[in-house]
Amino acid sequence: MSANIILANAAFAVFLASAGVQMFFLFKRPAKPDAIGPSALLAASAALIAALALRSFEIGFVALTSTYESLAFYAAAIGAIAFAYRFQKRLPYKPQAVFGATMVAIVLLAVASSPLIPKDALPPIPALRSAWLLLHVSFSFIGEAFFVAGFVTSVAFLAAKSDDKRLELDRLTYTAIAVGYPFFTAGALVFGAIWAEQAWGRWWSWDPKETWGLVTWLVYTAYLHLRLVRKRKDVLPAWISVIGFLCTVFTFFGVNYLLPGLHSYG
Amino acid sequence: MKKFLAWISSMKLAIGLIAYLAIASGLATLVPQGLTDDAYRGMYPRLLAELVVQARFGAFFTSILFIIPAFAFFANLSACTVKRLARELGKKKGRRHGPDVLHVGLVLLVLGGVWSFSGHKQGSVILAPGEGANLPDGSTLKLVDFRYDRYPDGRPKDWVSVVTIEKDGKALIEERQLRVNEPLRHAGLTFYQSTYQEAPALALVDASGHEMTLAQGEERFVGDTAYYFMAPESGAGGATAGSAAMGSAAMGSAPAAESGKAVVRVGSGAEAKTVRVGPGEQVGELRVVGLKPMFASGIEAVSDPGYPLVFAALLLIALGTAITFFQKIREGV
Repeated sequence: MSANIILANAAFAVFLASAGVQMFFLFKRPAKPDAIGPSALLAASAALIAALALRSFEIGFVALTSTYESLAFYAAAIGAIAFAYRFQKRLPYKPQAVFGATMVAIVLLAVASSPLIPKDALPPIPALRSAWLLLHVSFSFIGEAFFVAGFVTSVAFLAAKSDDKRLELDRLTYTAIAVGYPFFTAGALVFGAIWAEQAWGRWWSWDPKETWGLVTWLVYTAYLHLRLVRKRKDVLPAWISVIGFLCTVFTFFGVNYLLPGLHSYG
Repeated sequence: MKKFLAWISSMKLAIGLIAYLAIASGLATLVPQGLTDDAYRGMYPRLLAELVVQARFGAFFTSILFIIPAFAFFANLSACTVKRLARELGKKKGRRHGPDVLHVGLVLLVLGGVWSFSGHKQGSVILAPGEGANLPDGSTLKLVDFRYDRYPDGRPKDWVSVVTIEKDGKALIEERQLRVNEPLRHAGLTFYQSTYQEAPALALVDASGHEMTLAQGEERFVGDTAYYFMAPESGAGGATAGSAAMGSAAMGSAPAAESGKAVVRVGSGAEAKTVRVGPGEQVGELRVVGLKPMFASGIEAVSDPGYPLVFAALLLIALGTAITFFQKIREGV
């Protein structure tokens, strides 16, 4: 087993340990919020980034070209955001949100480590040899990592009973989406279109991945307009946030495995 | 008129159109696009097939199901943009122009996209090294060399065309490497490395050790004798013809070995003889080295009049989102 896989597996173990610690604190409800679990998330994310850096040296290119590498980066971004949220001062802290995000990252890493996902560190084919790949993929996944946070807080919103709690969770959802949206817009749409023009001679091809990227963007656009312009703070924006996250999941997994197109690189 | 303007710039209409476009576009990806009516009838149950065919769901993004709502969305977006911009400009302080820049970018993107789509022209040519293609401005695109590099496991690593553009014997562009993701722009055209073809060529060597390669169907004179490479002998395992598109994960075949026989016509007129020769055998005054794969490069030329507008629109969208982002961060979201 290569060093990068060992490092990534260790990161997975730390994510699991962090979830365990967070669960303990969630049940115990101490006066001071848990700092160990979220700190472990930062360590795990750093280990994943280090694993990707090792793979990059091995293949001589940025290791963001395979499903395995994308999932590792996605999980690292979620872990880093959850850590940053724990130690920020501006927003109300909800340990459930960090725990939910940790669970999503664990699911992603479980998929990455399953035998279904090839883990060979292979240098990219010519179609993927572009500087735009780094911008397109990294910005898209950073945006989607914030959408994960929005999804978790939306689910908590829908489950919450008290209005005060709902208001806080609505604020968290809105913040996560408002921060993730520019990253996603730049990564998925702007950099993606510029790269498509450079590689294929067309800005847009209505390929299933592109179309689902646009659908995701439209869903979050609808969320922001409802929340920001119409000032809606009820269940509708929360449901749209959940739908938006499901769209990101389908764009990543559903399109890759069900709908072949120009983005079918394996 | 006032009512219409209020309706066309309303948020309700925007949300409704966004919802329709998102749902309909998502559904359209579940139907393979661009097939014939008969293909859909063979693929789906009768009722569903008729729905797909009659509603033109198989060409959704050029059908009225998409175009009319997209046009309505464009009108709504334009109206909202003007309304919002006017409102922000009217403010004495606390102006937020990030969303305005983003909206203007989106409006320009739609306009540029339509211009790009309607004026888009493309053509492709397969060139063997040494061959050229005439361009609309009277210049010639010439392929100097084509290289296909592979990784040790046989996967493609790089396709490189070395090209020049010449006019009236003068080089407008000196030898430039054309790769996937590295197009060449010249005189309103963009050239892309789009495909390749692999065909067997016959390598021959003369008494002085000078080697020459004949492509299939190529005739060349050595002294007074013509050598015409007709074809590899049927079943010759040396080189195989093949091709691949480069936009996707084309794998290509492994490099061919120099083995197998070739059918060659030697001489011309009534004295011409057709012979089957293999590696090491003599043909006329030349000795056969063997069959070799010879690559030809597929180059696509694209003319896109909407390029500057679409590019500028994308930059505005990125700028608008960035301004909004930093404004929100400063205000504590």
